[in-house]
Amino acid sequence: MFALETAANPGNLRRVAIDPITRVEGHGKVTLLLDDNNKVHQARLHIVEFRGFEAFIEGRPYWEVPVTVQRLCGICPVSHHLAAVKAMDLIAGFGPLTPTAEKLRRLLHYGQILQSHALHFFYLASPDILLGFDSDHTRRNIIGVVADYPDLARQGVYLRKYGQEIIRHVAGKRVHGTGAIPGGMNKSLSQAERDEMAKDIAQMISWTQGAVQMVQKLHETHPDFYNVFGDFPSNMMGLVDKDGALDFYHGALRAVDAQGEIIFDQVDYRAYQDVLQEEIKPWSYMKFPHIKSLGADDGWYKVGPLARIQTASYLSTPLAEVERQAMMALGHGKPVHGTLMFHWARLIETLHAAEMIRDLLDDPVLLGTDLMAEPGPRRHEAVGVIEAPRGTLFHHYRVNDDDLVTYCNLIVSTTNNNQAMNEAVRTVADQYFDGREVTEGLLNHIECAIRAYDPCLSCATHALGKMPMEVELRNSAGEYLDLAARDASGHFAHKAWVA
Amino acid sequence: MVSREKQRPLLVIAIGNPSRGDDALGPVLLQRLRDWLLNAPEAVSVRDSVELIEDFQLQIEYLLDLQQRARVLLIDAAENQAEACRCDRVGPHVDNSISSHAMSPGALLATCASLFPEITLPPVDVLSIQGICFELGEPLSQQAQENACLAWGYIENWILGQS
Repeated sequence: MFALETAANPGNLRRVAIDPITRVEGHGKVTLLLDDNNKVHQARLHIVEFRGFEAFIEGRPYWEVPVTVQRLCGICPVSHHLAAVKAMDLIAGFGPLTPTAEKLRRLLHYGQILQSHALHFFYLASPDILLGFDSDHTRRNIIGVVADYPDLARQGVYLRKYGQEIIRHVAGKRVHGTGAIPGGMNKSLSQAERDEMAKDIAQMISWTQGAVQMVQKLHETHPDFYNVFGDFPSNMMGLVDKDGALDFYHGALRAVDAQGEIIFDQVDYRAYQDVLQEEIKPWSYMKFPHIKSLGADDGWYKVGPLARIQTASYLSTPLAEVERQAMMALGHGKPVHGTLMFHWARLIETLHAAEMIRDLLDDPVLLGTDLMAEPGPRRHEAVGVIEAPRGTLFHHYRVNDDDLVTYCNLIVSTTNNNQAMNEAVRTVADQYFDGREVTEGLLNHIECAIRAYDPCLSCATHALGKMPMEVELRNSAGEYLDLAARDASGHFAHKAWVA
Repeated sequence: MVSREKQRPLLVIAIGNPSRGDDALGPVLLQRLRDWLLNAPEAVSVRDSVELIEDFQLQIEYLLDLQQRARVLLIDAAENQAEACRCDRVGPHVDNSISSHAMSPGALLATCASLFPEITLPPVDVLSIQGICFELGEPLSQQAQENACLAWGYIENWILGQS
């Protein structure tokens, strides 16, 4: 049982609900139960996960799946595309990819990482981080950032566009590209395409490095807030290569505990069900994965930027590794767990992706035309795993002799982070909720805790602080005390109780 | 920066997920437009003047696609719309979607005007087509198919400058 998951005597507690949460893809809400001393006894993040994914995929020919899965999500289609095609490489019986094919897939993936992270930081998170969590909500958006940090805002758009252009060049189009196919790639890269991307990469690296150092300065200037906000220990998981370096595209599973000690390492992700288990709880539609050997209570973990760069032994590019070391220095030899560290880590990953893009663009093998692996005997079951921008993404398929998918299990990044996001909400509620007055700033604090994970469940909107939300406060007798509401226009007000 | 070849004067952006029921209206009409531009004799004069883009949602980087355009048309399915289809000229407008993965056309224009004042905003028209069902895996509804036929007339006229 998790602390603050279920109150011992909920009937005597006041219920506070945030419904719905902004910037959670799909529908989510937060409920809090507090006692008369305003102590939080229960905090839950309820997310309605769209469960039609597997049914949508089952029954389709396996060769369609890498294209079809892109339609599951408009925010990270390339991640699903690559995870699915990695599984279908094996289903179709292909051997190792050709060097050119793998480098093209990596370029595609790093472009996705760069544009996704850029969008999240510069566009969704920066209003809170740069303007303040309690700042005027009418300005706490990209327009406010443009007014106060115009150069930064423009850089964010260019970074985002640059990543999308990489995807367009490699996959043939910005969206629904068919670049990766079972066994390799269906399009080579021309010299002209390569040169166009190479022209701007140095600038992208420079801008990203500047952003990393800006966030570092925030943490150094206000450590009592930025390092402490939503700080709770957790296990962490990510993909690493054989030398322990972070590998976004392919590797083995590694998990570490809150102290950085190895739980498991170099686990072939095809055997993920040997080390991970998914639990169902009655109050949420989203599953709760955990590390089997530690059990449900102690085995939950976080994935994504903050977990990845600390689970790995190092980053393979020099500038990003320097920045990673600077961030981890705050832990004095142990991992850091403050929720806002996610943003710092996300920018470090953006820098890492940009450096790897530069290295690929300098590699003549990238322009090769040998794109298909050697064929072999078909298989009936395979797993494809990738580090999507938001965290580890699992695609597991079974295919029958008619080449049709008979089984599909997806563990998306946000599902992996389900318990961690719950803990973030609980920690922030415990840290900041005073129980006496519900303020717009309080709502935003809880949202910021969730937002740091950049959750994504479907191609719904992330509306920053503007979606309708109500928080109601009742005493232990169930009597209404306070209701704060933010309407669809973003206006926040306390409302009098009307019987 | 992030340079591309000289932009074509007309830009058509279709918004929608081809696998979510009537959300496919935008992509379906864009494909029809693509075929028409390639094959219709009456399209010869405009064939090289039009750029087509398709995406699940309108995102911030599309403001850079507004550069050097004479006119822009956005095509999207609409939920809870009374008319089968309607075409509206939109201007910069800050709304709820301003900081999200799925910006409204008005929010995109407002962000562009604020962030890149050097870009001359082109006239932007939004063609909204009534959709009924938006479930994953569902085909276009019968009503949506009929609405698409109506919408095609708007699109053809818009391309030919007759709207």
